Amino acid sequence: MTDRIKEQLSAFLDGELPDPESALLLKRLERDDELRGALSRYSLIGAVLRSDGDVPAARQVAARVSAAIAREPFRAAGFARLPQREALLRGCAGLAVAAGVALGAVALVQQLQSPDTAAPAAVVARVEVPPVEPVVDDTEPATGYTTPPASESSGGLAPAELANFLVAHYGYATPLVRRSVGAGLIGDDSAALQQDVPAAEQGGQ
Amino acid sequence: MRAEAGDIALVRRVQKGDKAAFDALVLKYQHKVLKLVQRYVRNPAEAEDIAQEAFIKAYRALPAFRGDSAFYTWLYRIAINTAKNALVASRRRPVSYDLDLQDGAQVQAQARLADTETPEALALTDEIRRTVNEAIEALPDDLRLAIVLRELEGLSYEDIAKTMECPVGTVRSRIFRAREAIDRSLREVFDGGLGRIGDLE
Repeated sequence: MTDRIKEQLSAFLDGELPDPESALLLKRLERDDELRGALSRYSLIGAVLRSDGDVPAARQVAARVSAAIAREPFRAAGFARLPQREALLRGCAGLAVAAGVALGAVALVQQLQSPDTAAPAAVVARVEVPPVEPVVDDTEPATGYTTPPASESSGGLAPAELANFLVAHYGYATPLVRRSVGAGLIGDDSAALQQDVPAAEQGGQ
Repeated sequence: MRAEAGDIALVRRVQKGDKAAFDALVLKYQHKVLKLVQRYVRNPAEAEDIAQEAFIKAYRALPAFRGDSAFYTWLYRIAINTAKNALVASRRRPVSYDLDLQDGAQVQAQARLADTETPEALALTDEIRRTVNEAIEALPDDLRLAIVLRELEGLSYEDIAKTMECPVGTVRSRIFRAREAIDRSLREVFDGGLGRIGDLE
């Protein structure tokens, strides 16, 4: 054990050793009994200097504690006892997430109910595009780009998917939002059902 | 304050699973905790058992320690409670309660003997105190002032550097050399038959 390491130990005892050096010193302490003895004596010196009375020299405490905790399982610092401020922040964060989800759902429903549902901006879900034959203009040089024909289904959200989304996120919404979203969903469902009915049947009525 | 910050840094390491950091905390505070426990329990061996138990309780409770108070303050409370519980379990009264009823230097000396129980243990404690004090007196002025400002006044290295008008690195070196000089005398005590170095951990 060199004087440099013992000087580090002295600074470590005073809380004056930088973190990276402290980490290395701790590793050395694990395997160096002489260094452990020096740390114990340095702390004993301080205790004697600060004390008016006698300070007993602990003989086996550290060794026995070390052996005992070596058998202990590691328990990470948990959140069982959150401070009030942290708990409040967590609650606010939860509310913010719920409000965001609810607003998103309302925006979706309003978008679906508006007549301009085919607008590209409303595309938020899976879109099934039918296979398209490339359109080639023989009179012009090929550009490699083809424009698919517009699909009626490309601008909207499948009702079943919307329902699944809303049901899955109901728990995050406030009661007021739940009611408005639910009403929108029911209204949309009836419209969607009408669309799902084959044209022949509609015409027959 | 820096020492407390150092303790908190060690506590954070323990909370991440570094058992060596807890080992360092035990080495640092075992003498103080033992002295504290011996106010309640006469028998040195029993006091060591209680000190050990207090440290193990502290280790188990450390995941919930948030650092609102200094680590030693928190440890102090655990040690006191552990000692009191041990007293209740053994249905004995604390030593200090007995001492309050007594008077006179002779009775006090007997009480001290009862505290440490064995003449050998008492002799070792006295020898340690005498050796440390003599070694301090024998130190060069700059080393003695540095260690006194650190240990008795609790100043940070930076504050000591300002007081002594020297660089922080010099303060660090002086404090180390002071400790090393005292430790050299202390090791002679342990090698001299009152105990082996290996015993003092």
